[in-house]
Amino acid sequence: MSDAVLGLVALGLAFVGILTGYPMAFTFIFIALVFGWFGMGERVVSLMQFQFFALMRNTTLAAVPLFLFMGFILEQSGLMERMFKALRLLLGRVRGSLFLVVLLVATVFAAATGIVGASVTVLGVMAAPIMQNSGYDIRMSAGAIAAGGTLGVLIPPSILLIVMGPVVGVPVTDLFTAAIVPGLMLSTVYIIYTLVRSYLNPDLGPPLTAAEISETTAAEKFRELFFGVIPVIVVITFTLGVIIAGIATPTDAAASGALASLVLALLYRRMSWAAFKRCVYSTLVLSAMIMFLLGSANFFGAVFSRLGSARLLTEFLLALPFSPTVMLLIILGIVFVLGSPLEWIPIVLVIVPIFLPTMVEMGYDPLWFSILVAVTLQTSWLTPPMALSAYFLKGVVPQWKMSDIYVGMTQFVALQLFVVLLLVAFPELVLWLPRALAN
Amino acid sequence: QDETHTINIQTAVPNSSLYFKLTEDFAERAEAMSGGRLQIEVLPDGAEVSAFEILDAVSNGVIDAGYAWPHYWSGKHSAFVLFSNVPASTGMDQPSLMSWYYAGEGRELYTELVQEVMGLDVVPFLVQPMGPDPLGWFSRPFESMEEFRSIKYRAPPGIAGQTYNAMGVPAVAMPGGDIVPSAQRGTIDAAEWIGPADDKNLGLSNIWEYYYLQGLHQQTDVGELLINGALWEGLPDDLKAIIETAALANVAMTNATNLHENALAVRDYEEQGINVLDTPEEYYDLFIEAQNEVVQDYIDGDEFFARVYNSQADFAEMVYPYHSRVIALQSAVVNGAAEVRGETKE
Amino acid sequence: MSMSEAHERRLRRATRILDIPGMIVGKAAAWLIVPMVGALVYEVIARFVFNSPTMWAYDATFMLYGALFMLGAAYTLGLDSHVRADFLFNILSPRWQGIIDGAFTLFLFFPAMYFFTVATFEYAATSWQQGERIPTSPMMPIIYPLKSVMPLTGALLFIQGISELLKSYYSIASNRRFRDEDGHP
Ligand code: NA
Ligand code: NA
Repeated sequence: MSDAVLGLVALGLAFVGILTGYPMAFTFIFIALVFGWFGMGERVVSLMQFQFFALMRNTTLAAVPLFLFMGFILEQSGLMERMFKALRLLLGRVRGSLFLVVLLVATVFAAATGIVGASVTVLGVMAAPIMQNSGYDIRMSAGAIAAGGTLGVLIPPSILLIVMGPVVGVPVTDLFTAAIVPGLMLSTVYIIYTLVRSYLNPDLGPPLTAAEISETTAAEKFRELFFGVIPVIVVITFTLGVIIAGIATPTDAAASGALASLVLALLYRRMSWAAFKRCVYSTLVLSAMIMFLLGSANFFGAVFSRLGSARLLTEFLLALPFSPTVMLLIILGIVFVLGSPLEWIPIVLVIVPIFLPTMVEMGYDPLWFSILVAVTLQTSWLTPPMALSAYFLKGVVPQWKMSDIYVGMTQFVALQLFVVLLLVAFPELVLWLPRALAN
Repeated sequence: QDETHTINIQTAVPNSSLYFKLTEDFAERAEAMSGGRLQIEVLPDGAEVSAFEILDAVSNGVIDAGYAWPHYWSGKHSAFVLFSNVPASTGMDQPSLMSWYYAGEGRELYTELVQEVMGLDVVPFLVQPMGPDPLGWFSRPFESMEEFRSIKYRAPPGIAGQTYNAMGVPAVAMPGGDIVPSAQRGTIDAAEWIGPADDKNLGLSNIWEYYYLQGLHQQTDVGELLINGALWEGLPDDLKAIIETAALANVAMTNATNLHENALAVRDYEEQGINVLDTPEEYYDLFIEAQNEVVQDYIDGDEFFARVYNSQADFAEMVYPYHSRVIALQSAVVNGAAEVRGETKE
Repeated sequence: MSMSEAHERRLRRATRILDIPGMIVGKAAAWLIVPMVGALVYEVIARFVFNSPTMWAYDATFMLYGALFMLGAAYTLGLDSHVRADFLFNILSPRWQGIIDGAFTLFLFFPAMYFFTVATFEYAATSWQQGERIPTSPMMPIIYPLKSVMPLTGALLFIQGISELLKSYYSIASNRRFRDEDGHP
């Protein structure tokens, strides 16, 4: 069997392995070891240790446990629930108001960092319980959190674009500028979609009942705004704000935010020693879950990319005689499909360089093309078997069924592809801002 | 004898890097000379392993070959740094280093370090002399070291970073991926990266407008090719000779391309309105002074480090009477012609 | 098949004992988050207020973080908190769940963790021999303690796996779940 075929078999087995319900991190490691062994012999174990160690020494990802810690402190102290309740109260009759809140927070989060593991889990910890208790549709809630959490991949600063710049030979700063409009478009499309669907079908995001609204007086609303909403928003804004203002890197800010949350919880007398211990231990368990899964997914990706199936498929399709537009759509299709077994790193490093010359030859602008690839790649967090966004969410909200999360995400994947097509049809959406700033 | 040998080289640089292209140039020459019996593919940083794992990965055969810099392994042995970033205190510049390596004791010492001291199954070649690296990009100019000490500077790791800290410069240890967002937001005020041509891809010239070309922390910098020992032994003698020759050709191509590409990039920056500035005189003395102290600890701490360092210092001393005069001559040529054209800087 | 009460007590005692190493190391590692927060807040203040960033905060951060999540992996397994795509799994009877978990633990988990432990042990041992330092920081701190976390993680996971195997055996024998709805044994 050729290596490339081995890769496809490994991919199929990864799907089957996940479906058995066994903890998937170990399934991925096992499959990668076996197929790596066929493809490259016992040296595959070295590849495993390199992948895991690379993860362990990654200062940027150290923000994940820190953001989680902050999230748990706000959650354990009840401050987060109070804030979401208060916002819902203030937004009263708006159907699906929590979708709006979650997606706005996700967008701000995205502008501060690009760490999907952190955004998805923190949003999950903070918003999932209240969405569930308010009778929100679980699928749509899961989709909004999982997809909202991936916005940081595109909205600058974005690690993906930082890696992509030197690959495509476009300055990272240009990529950042070009990604702003598409990133905000995505977030807007998500918001419009959830609000319109909730408006048409109030069961998806039920508003407060007339009775609940008349029960609360204006004074109570005012009180909740001051004591329930503003302090928590100040802490979150402070945390994300210091990143955007350049005072701190995401890792620094996550630590500062955790401390600020703790101070706030203590001021409100909402943090006991027992609750603090729960925060510490929950942070450990979820960090281990996320990072170990990420390590195993990286290892699987390294083996899959080593077996060369992705390369072969790409080179085969590139050799076909298609018109530029069809070729562009085919390439974006490859990126989308490969985003299911692979993470973005091997796609950007190994696959993009293969078809970049073809695209440039066909006369496409590398800047525009890079952004198309980036928006398409954002779906790789949402497409199984390596749908890490879904798995992170499942980790923090174990009571949500994986099937519901998958179904919920699918709608958002479709929205994302819709935005890709918009960008294909109207390149100005990408190119306008960089040009305007250059002049 | 017609057997085809495939070698994948995983580099520590991205595809659009000048040094990636130079490594591809090496591959193409070796393939052509071998009449296709060598098939060499060049892969970007991270394609299989991350840059800092390349030496180990080549040694245990996870990858056939790698491209990186000797100072990347200075965590494994302090002496590695001497083969790419020579301390200025030895008196070695980039041409002297390559002369010491290929005509003096350098190559023997490096092979000894890699194979005997470290026990690695790797055959190393120093192929790309690319120094000096610039001091870097700054948000504001500085007239004195006093001013430099108020600038948050992303420094290179190792002896270089230690030297800046000894000089009182607030050097931030920051992974490469954090540089652009941190620069845009002002978390750092200055950063060194690779060189004029390669820095374009990062876009630092769109954020900061002051560029200092002269820095001492990497006044010499050499890219290396690392080949797995077992693979090397398995090659027939003619293919070994072809690789050696292509490696030497790569030294020549790097010398030619480096000056050309970097000069073009600097011209572009100036046209774009970037202020390309001279580093204040004070910097050189203070840097060498601070580096001497930092390096002394390494010399006292390790015998092999001391051996290499002394070999370099002796070599530099030996070539000095000739080399110093040649440098003065070259400087007279370059600057004299500029004066005639009426474009001297002072 | 069913299980006598005495048998069940013995089995539960055995799993409790096997859970101990993972739990102790995991809970201890959890507290690394506190010095992590401390180091980084200190770094932010040092850099922003006093313009003198520390040399050590970033090194401390990745070392604490790397140790934290790796050393927590076994404890997380003991709590059954590694992610499962469980929409089909949850339909199955506890006995079938036990069969799947048991078989996977035996034929997939143990071999994988064996290689993980052995390979990373050698990786760490080489690092000790070289007295390896990490070159990406001006301070170049020693790195072998962090590399040693990897084989330790593998060994802890291996021991935890034995406990999980017993838990699967319990489900197969009694057709009941080992843990209640809240995940407590
Ligand atoms: Na972002
Ligand atoms: Na995916």
